[in-house]
Amino acid sequence: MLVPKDLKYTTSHEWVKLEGDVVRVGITDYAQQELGEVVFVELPDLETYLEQSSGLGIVESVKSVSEIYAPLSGQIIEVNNELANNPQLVNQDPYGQGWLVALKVDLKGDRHELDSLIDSEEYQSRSDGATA
Amino acid sequence: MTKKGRQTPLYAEHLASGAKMINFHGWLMPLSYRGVSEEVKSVRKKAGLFDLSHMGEIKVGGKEASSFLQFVTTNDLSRLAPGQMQYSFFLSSEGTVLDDFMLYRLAGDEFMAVVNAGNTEKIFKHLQRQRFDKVELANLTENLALIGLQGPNSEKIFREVVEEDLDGFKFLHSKEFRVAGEKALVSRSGYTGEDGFEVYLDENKAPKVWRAIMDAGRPLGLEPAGLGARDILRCEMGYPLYGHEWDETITPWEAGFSWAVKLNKNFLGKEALLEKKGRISQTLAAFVMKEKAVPRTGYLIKDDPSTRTSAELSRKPSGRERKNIGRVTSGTFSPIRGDFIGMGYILKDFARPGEIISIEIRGKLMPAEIVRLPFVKPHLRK
Repeated sequence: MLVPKDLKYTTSHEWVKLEGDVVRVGITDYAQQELGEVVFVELPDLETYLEQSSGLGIVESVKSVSEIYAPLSGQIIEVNNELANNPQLVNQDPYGQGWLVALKVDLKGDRHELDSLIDSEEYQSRSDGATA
Repeated sequence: MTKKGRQTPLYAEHLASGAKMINFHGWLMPLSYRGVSEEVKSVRKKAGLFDLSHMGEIKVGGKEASSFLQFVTTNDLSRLAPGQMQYSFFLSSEGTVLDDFMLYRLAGDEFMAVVNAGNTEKIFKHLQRQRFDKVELANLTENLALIGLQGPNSEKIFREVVEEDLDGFKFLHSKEFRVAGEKALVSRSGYTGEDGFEVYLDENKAPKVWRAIMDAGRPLGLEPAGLGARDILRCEMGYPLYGHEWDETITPWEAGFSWAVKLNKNFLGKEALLEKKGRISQTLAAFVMKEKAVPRTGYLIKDDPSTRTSAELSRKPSGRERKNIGRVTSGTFSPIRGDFIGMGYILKDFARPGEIISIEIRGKLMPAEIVRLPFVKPHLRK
């Protein structure tokens, strides 16, 4: 299971990459393994404003459907349109080409939201417990 | 592993092959090994090996075995010679489906019913309650393993592990073989729409035979396949599965299975079934999604008047309401077709091939077109 050290994580298996006031979001390697082959990804429209922990999208695999939650409050400024034709990128490259959306966040106003994210070490230990 | 459940004799083989395991009706079964879609493609193009040891096997013997089974099942045993098998139903007295199963006639008065894993106990109790005096029942499930070899290369692979000749061994026939040197009951059958063999044998011999078939088949593209692939394969054929298309509220009529109900004989549930015959409003229909979305079990099927063609409008000039017209029983992505397929019970008027229905998926109505089965062409050796 890959857990890059430079990313932040949620307990619901999203990853977050901080790029200034923009955050890129995807699902973790652990999440994609648990889901199995992804066949369909539903993402929000551009400019949608999402509250932290509200539904961001849907990832459907062959066997199950899983809701993805916004790790931070923010406005959708990019969605990964490649996933419409090639949803398996989520399996093949969950931290790279399989990213889902980019959100513009107000880190000054919502600074406290960052505290709810966990680092790679904590994510790793939590997910190890879940797989064992 | 914290997952709990009964283990089949092949449990260690699955773990060694890196299978993702799930609990299926109390049994720990492989969901997938390399990936569900890849396994489906292997079975359609080459071959796949399945552990089906969770299935229930009930032996029915004794002088009155055939008159007893004639009474508790819907298909006609008089058409079943020793060495043949048939698809049949056990019905409740209300005419609804307790289980759908395969009945093997092993000898004149010796039969084996292969029932769904989730129904084994229920059916065994049902048969005990209904039992005629000179009938012996035995639940063989605990000590019997079942290995399924499926796919176009099955015959070539099977030839490598049996001494006996396979010529003339036709679909829905069974025979005793030695497989990798071990005594086994083999039928030419399966639930994938492909040619194949199902091997029943003593649990202790199962790991050896599994490995022997894998070794013989690997050069011919054989790989292990899990329940995930099995479910997609049967969906692509439009084959019903208990708990999805069948349950104790459904009669064989609704799914169009009157061919497995023979009214020229008396059987349990017949009276209720006859009474219901003219009053069936829904039918099992197959559909293909027009957009990318998985129609999952339990989703509602609706009639969306805005999707009507003008021809349909003249036939069904109803209002603008989007009324419920059915429910999805099975649905999946089809790796062979590359689109999303499903089945469900739908009001008869809306179930004609070519009609557009709507599946309610997370609050949105997604269009789907009613089609004829199967979704994928079968390749059986009849």
